[in-house]
Amino acid sequence: MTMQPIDKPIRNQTASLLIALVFCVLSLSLFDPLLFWVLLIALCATGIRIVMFVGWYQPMPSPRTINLLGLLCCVVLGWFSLQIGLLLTMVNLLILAGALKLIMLNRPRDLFHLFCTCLFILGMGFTFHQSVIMTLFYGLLTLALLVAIGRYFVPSRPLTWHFKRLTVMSLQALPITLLLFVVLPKLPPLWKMPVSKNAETGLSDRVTPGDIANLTQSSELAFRATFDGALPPPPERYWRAIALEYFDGKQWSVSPLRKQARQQYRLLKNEFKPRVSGYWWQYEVIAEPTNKNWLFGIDVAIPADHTSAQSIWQSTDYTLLSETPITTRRAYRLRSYPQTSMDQTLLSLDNRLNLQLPVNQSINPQTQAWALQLAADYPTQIERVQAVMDYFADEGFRYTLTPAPMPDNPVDEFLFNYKEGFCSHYASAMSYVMRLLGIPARMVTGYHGGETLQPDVLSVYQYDAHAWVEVWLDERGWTRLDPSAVVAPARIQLGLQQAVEEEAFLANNQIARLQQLPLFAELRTLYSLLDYQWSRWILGYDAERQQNLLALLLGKVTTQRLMFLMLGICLLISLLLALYFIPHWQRKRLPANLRWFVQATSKAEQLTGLSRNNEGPQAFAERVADKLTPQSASQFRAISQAFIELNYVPKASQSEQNSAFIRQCKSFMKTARAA
Amino acid sequence: MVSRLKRSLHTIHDRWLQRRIPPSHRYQLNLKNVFIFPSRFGFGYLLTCVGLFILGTNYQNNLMLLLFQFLLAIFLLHLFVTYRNFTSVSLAVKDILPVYQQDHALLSIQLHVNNESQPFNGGLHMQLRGSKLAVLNRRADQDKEVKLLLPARQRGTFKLPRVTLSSTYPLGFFRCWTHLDFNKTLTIYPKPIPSALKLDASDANQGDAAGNVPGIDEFDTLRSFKPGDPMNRVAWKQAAKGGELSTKTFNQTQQEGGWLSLETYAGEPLEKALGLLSYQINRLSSRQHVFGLLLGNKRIEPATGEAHKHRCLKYLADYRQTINDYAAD
Repeated sequence: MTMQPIDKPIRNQTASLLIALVFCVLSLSLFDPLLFWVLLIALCATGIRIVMFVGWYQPMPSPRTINLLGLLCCVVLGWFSLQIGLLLTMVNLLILAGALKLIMLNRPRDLFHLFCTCLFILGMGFTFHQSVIMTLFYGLLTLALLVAIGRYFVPSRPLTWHFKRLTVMSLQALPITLLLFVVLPKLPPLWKMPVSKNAETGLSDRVTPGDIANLTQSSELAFRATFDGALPPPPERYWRAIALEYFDGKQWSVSPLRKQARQQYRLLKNEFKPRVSGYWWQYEVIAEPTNKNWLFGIDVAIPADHTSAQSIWQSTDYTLLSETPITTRRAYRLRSYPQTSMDQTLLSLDNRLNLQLPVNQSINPQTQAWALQLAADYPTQIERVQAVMDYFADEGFRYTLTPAPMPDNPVDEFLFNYKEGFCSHYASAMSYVMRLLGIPARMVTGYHGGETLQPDVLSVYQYDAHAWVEVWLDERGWTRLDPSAVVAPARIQLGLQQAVEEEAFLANNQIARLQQLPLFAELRTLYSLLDYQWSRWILGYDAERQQNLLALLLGKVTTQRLMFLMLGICLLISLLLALYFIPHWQRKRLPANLRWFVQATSKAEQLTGLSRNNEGPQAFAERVADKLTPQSASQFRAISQAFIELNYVPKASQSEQNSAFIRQCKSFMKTARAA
Repeated sequence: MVSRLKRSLHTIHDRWLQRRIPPSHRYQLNLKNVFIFPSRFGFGYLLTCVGLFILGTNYQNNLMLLLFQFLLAIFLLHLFVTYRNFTSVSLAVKDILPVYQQDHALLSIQLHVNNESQPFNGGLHMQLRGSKLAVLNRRADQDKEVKLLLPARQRGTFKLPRVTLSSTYPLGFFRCWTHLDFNKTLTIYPKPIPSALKLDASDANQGDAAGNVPGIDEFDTLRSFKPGDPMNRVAWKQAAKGGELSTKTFNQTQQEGGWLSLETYAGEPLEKALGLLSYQINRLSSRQHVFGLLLGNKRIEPATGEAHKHRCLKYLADYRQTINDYAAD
């Protein structure tokens, strides 16, 4: 009996190899979130599959071995999960499960399980990669997965055939996907999901002068802002992120008291709502993932719409905090009122925090002495501030990204010895001196500047990171002071790149050096534009945008109109399907000469009242001859003769004859007359 | 109770099928006779999609949602692809040749593609409705044929039950199937049981008890070969020695009409007796012997040849049997 078993082992099939390779590439694309040993197991599993496919080694490991291995892996992963957090554990677990399934791949059911696992891993991959290129790459992987399954079901066709077929099908699926994407309601999260404890990027909540220099070596994007209308002038582009209010003599950090206060406010749901006044800029920020909570805005910023307001907490230090860490690109809309005075917060708390001095009073003795001197010389706040700024301006300070290290008494060394440094040195020294002089002062970090991507779009990169000083002046409230601007006005007017041109800007970054080439720069701009539109329309398409779009489409969003829209979309999808599957336009067209011959014949039939049925062309021509005028009859005979020659006598110059034949037919159609 | 309910449901379904897909020798698959539903794998796929949707919603990640919607669109498209592929063929069945008991009959379904521009792809799964007998030809699109061996357990003439054909092309998300009644029967002859020939010398009405038939295998003379002589009668030994082709002739005394009769084996159980007769019919036919068959009150006049043999064997198969549905197990 030659009956094939229905569940045939599939270890030798191309499908198994293809899915193994896809799994391998997928695991490699998750290099960062994966534990090294998990990745190693995934690679080994792929290796085993390849060896089995080639046939060097056939026997399957026994299920018991694999189960034991699985158990062991789970225990180890459980141990690591404490360090890496729930999300990463989930990803690692998925990859592990996939790898073990891959080793055991034998029955079709295993193949289907692996296929679904791979799809799920692919989805998880979007937590970590969201760029256009990675999306395309994952799209290709999806296609390859489909091909693997297709190959299993139709083994008689080569892989290229499957690729072609499924590419066409994917292209057909895209319009439907986009329709669904646009209209399917964007739901809020159903429940809270674990977030990754990824390496934090960008600004840090602790600054030891010198840190921001590391950031200035990075050409990564920090965020983009799209303005409704004109951009603010360059000197106004101070993007506040963090207010650092605690100084220990060397390092600035977010004050623990401030954190406590914030927590209490949150418990009481007593959000700080600054009273704003004056003109404003409205804009949307698309922030790159930082795995931190802070957001960026120009002072004084408040959320511009309801969705943003829900996800943003305004703190009493005028910073904006996201409800959840920014693990993926996040869009939010703000409105900034630069003329608003920042004197609306609790003075007692602000004073207490911002007059704090290092506990260890032996650090920076020279500075302390200098401050005593200044305090004696200048009685008013304004004079004292001015004196310090003048000191920076007049004493030969230099703006550089590569200052000498200043480990002990950093402020003393900076102010009186080296007199060189960059923004965080200046901000740190100035804030400290201000505090010594009895003026509440803090260091604010964020970004300054930005590159114009489009007339209304700013791209802000990590190298735009900046630190400045805020002091409390009794008559004006919190006032921004930027000592860097005094030392290197170009830094504020033109950006860091120009300010430190003589130094090797982004010296350690080979790619950044490439960016200096004109062609590369152009490509980079092009990619930035594409990436910007991608972030804006695909990644940033949220409930708010959907509402706006629906309002644009429907005029007013009512339940009835929404229903009509949904019906319309269903209809549209059905139409698309009809277009794809109703075969009429796929029918092969008849060759031109045959079409014309049929037309000429039907003309003759019409004129004579005789029907040809299945008669041969020549016989029919003879039969109708005496019912046509002699001229038409001879014409029709010629046509019949030519048609026979065209179709049944092999000739070299077919095309010429063909067109001559068609001309003949046309003239017959015009001139034919019945006798 | 459950099994009774099952059976009655089955009969209701059968009756409905009888109306919906009436018996025919040839079927063009179309909306009327094709069913389609997501397969187990299809449901698994949908479950994965739902998982991606939840993931995408909870992380507010549009790319995950986009993947979810893309996979959904692919699923939807495959509903039509599967259907279109399955309905691109018409199906016919070859006549099922009669076989002996304990042998296997061959059921062969032929695929015919209606339109060359829309070829049939992928495998075809075939199952006898109501039995576990099934086969999957994963290269049905190349073979243009699906074959299933039917074990012949019982003698008789059987009606071929409905054949369930299904396809999961191209990605197995959907299963498209049909239950076709090709209106064919399958004849199973009794299994031949070797025995000595027992041929009545004359008509049973006149004859006495049967005796051994002498000389049927007894070699008589050699005569020169004439075109049309059966090959098994050629004296190959002589021919190999370089002589003329000559034909062996046998004692032809029985040519006038021997009779095989069930009565001869009255002492044997019926099935064994039929088996013995089956063997003898074969034997006599291969010798081109003229014989008749007496089977109870049925009577087949003496004749010779293949058609006669099959007629006799069919009588044996149907003896005291009614036409039943074929049951594989």
